[in-house]
Amino acid sequence: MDEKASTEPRVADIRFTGTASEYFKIWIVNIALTVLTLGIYSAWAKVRKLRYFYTNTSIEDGHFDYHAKPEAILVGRLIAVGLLLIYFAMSQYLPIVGLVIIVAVLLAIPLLMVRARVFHLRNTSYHGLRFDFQRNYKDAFITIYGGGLLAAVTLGLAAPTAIYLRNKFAANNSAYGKTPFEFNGEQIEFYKIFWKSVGLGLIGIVGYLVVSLVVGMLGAAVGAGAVAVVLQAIIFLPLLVFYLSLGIYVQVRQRNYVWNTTALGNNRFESNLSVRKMVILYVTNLFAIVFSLGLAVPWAQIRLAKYRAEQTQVHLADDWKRYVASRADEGSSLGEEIGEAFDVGVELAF
Amino acid sequence: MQVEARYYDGQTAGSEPVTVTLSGSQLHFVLDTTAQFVDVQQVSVTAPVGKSGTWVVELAEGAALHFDDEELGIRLAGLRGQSGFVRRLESAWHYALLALVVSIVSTWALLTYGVPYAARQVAFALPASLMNSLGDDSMEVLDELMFSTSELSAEDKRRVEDLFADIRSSNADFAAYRLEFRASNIGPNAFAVPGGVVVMTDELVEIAASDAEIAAVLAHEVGHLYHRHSLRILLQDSASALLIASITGDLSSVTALSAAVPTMLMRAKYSRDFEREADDFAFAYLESRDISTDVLAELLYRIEGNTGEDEGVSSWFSTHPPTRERVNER
Repeated sequence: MDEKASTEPRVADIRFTGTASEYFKIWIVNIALTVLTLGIYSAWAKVRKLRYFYTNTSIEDGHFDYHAKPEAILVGRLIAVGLLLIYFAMSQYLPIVGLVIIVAVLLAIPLLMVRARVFHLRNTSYHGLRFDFQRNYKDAFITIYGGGLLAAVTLGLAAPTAIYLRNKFAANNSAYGKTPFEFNGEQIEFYKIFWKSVGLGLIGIVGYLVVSLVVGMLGAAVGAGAVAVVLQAIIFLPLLVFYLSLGIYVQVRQRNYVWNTTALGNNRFESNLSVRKMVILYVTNLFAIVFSLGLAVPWAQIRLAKYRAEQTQVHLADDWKRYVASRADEGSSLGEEIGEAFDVGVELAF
Repeated sequence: MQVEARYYDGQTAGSEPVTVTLSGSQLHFVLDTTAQFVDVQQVSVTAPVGKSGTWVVELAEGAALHFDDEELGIRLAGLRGQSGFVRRLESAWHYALLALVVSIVSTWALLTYGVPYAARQVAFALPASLMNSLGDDSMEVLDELMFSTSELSAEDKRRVEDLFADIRSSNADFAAYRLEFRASNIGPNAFAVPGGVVVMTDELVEIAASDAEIAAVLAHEVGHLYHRHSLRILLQDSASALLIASITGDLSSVTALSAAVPTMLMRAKYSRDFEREADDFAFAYLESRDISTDVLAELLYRIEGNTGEDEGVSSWFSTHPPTRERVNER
């Protein structure tokens, strides 16, 4: 079927076909059933949400899918919640045990991250073929703790190296079937993004101080202290948006760079997210969610997914049939769920 | 019926087009000139999420048939006894509206009645001896954070201890409760510490105008101990935080505020409920001793004069009910 077409190099768009009105219904039913079942249904809700987003994401004639068994996620969640409850209780009455739990979870972060990636990717498919992730615990520990230590002893100056190592680790251990992804990015780019954001951050602080000083002096000069206070509040809001934008700038630039320097076989990716558009999306999403008392959450998530898909392309050069499966079990959801419960961001930039 | 489908072998990416025929409970298709027969009862059938999309029939060895035909999908699901109940709920606006109402009402009912009821059951199922052994560390932490050695005169201490002894004698369960004196760095206050300890601050003894006022405060704190509030607040906070997190769980970090605010509001509400319960306990004690219940109000107003109290929206986040309400309520 596709053989003839698929050997010619070509650029394929990633298409996202989900709609806010359709997802709203799925989302609200998920919430209702989760509350009615005292949280048990949340595992099924997670699978339905991801399946909706994945099956509506396609490249050429193939789409993504998510295959995790809700029962596996539920078991992971129950263990995570149990651990969390023990932690809550112990940190109140026997702080030392609470501390032991926190330290144990901290030590296990690389392990949990690997398990979470394995579970997630082995349950994700494109075009009927599953993704995979290497159980490379040794490199995980070196990457997370080595990078973290380096960033710590340099007082954050070497943080870009840590970020680079994490992205490299995440990409190089991921595979589509048996074919590994290959990350060709360089550290220097992460440093450029980092220093530019630090510089802009400093300019923001200085700018804010200067403006508020001028406003304060003007206020004192005309004897209208109240006006000065109001003015300071007014210039504080743009400052908040500025720092939100700075966070988005770092995320977007890193995401673009990681995608643009990652290959799968002879296929390449292209990510063109714009910082300006993402800031507008985030800010409008935030306002919509707050003023709708949360009802705009599905709409916000759909437009974010749509924009991300629109700005990502795949330069295809391989025949899909060349990609073959690796035989492996699906892994356990435990790492992902414990990680989520203790908020140890298992998501990597990739 | 005949339907165009795609066959995925599970070993390679990409599919082969096949024509699938359903006869009885058997699916039939031709793959590479070989006829394949699949018993619908032996495979799993997965419906798409959403009103249209791909149905998946998972065959052996990771292979799968994909097709978009709703009619065939529904017939296969029917043969396997899958009702598609959730998918039907997700398909119509009137169900969405129902789900919205159910979400709001059941979340409200759970947080207001379910969680406090369950916490009470659990807290009182634990033996009192365990409760009393729990608080040893709490006192050390409090000493570290906000207390220093009491500078009250021996005479004042004896006076307050006598008041405490009278409250303790009102119920055999109170025998294990103890009274401690501390100087505080957060102004006049008294505390019920898990493990059956009431802490009276020098500042409160000084600001109190009469023994009756001190007795009212001591009774309020004993009320906290008697109702096991420290354990119940811990259970309620954890349960409500988990519930709220499971509802808002799929929000991104930018909107994490939407989980933090309701969690804080619930925490404050639970705390206010317990303050009212402790007030009621104190009022009952005062009445049993023929002391006017006004004394608690008078003391609260005097303390408030010292610290000031906000009204309006900020009271939603307050851990104590407004003083005016506490005074009128009894």
